[in-house]
Amino acid sequence: MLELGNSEAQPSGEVRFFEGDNVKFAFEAYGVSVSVTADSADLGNKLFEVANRAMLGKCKVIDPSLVKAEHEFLLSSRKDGTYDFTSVGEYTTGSGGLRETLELFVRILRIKVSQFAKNCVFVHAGVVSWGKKAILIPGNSGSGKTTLVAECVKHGALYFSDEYAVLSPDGLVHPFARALSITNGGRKWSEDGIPVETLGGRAATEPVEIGAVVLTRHEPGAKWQPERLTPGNGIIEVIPHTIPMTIDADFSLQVLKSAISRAIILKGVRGEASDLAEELLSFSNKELTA
Amino acid sequence: MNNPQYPIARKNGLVVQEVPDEVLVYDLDTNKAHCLNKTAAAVWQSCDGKTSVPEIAKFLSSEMGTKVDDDLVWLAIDQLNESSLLEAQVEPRFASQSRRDAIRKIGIASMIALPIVASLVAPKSAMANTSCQCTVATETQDCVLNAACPNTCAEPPGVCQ
Repeated sequence: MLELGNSEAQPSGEVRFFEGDNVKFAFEAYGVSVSVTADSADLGNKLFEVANRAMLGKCKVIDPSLVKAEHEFLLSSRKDGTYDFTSVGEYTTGSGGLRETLELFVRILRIKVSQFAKNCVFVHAGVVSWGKKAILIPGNSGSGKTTLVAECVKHGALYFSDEYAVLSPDGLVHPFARALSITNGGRKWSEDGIPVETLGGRAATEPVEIGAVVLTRHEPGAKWQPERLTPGNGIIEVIPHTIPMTIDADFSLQVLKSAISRAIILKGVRGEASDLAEELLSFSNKELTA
Repeated sequence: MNNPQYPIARKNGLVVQEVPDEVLVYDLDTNKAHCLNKTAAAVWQSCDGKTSVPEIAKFLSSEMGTKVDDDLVWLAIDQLNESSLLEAQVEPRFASQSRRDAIRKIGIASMIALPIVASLVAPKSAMANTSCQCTVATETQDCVLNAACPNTCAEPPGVCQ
């Protein structure tokens, strides 16, 4: 369940501005500034709390009167208990009840931050590490990367993310260790997740180099017999998963080169995730720990 | 129209990054990414509009220390042309069947790797990994969450418009 938290929680720093019944606050995450206006303090507090959790505690409160935020959201309640969600300059949409509204807000916040993050590049990928090298598993939503990441964690890998590889210009991958998004009753927009500790694993806290990139998709009964790609061919395979590619291609390509050009890049179909996790562990012990 | 014997490498609208033995090219107009192997990159970098195909072959021969045939250069130029990496379209030298023959012939004779341009299209947004279909139940959420789709869910048929 998405925890709504208690209504006492407030944006740290107490930088909130009241405009009539509305409350406005702003924060920055991964260099992206966001302002949020809600039509009640209670809703404002809940929005900040879920935003901060979605950004893994990296939301830094800023003063909305001093900074013009890059992205502005307005949330207001209707008499029937549903909400209107507005992304200023883009669209307004009805978003259902409180839970749906918070989930929509979190999803859109993640999209904005992953597209416009400063000084880092978000790639759609699962990430684990063995030894001191990370394994990057790029893939779209529903491609099975969470399943594979979860199996790797069960086999002893350190957990970085099941959704985003956050790459910095020095070529390192940083943890984005949210709760794993393992399907829960098929609920489409759920932010429900399973903490990595539940799987007996641990979350990484420090960035590491990428040792390998695994480009794979599940095919029942398939045996993992990957081909090894050149760095250039590996990078163009990762480009479709690189979120800011169409926004800042120059920076994205520089960062991909820095992060991936020394990695071993493997491409092939896989059978069961647990089998591949075992093979990757053995591969890592042989190839990445030297 | 440029004389195809003097091809010119396109420069505008491209982001270029060199990695060891390869050149990556991202086309901002089409969101296509290309990986040029060493041979294809060497040909592309020689396409300055002043150097003819035989001259490029001669230059590559001296650079690589082995005889490079004109057909090998044409093989690269055909692929660069198909990938829109030349300033002006060039009449293809090899049709698909004759290209296979050429690859076989050049491959046997050549001491250097055949030119290869590998290409992939990046979606408009990497978030765009689902279709622009939406359901009535979630109103416009399916649409607004997909950066590549219009924002409004038409009902029916449940497609973002």
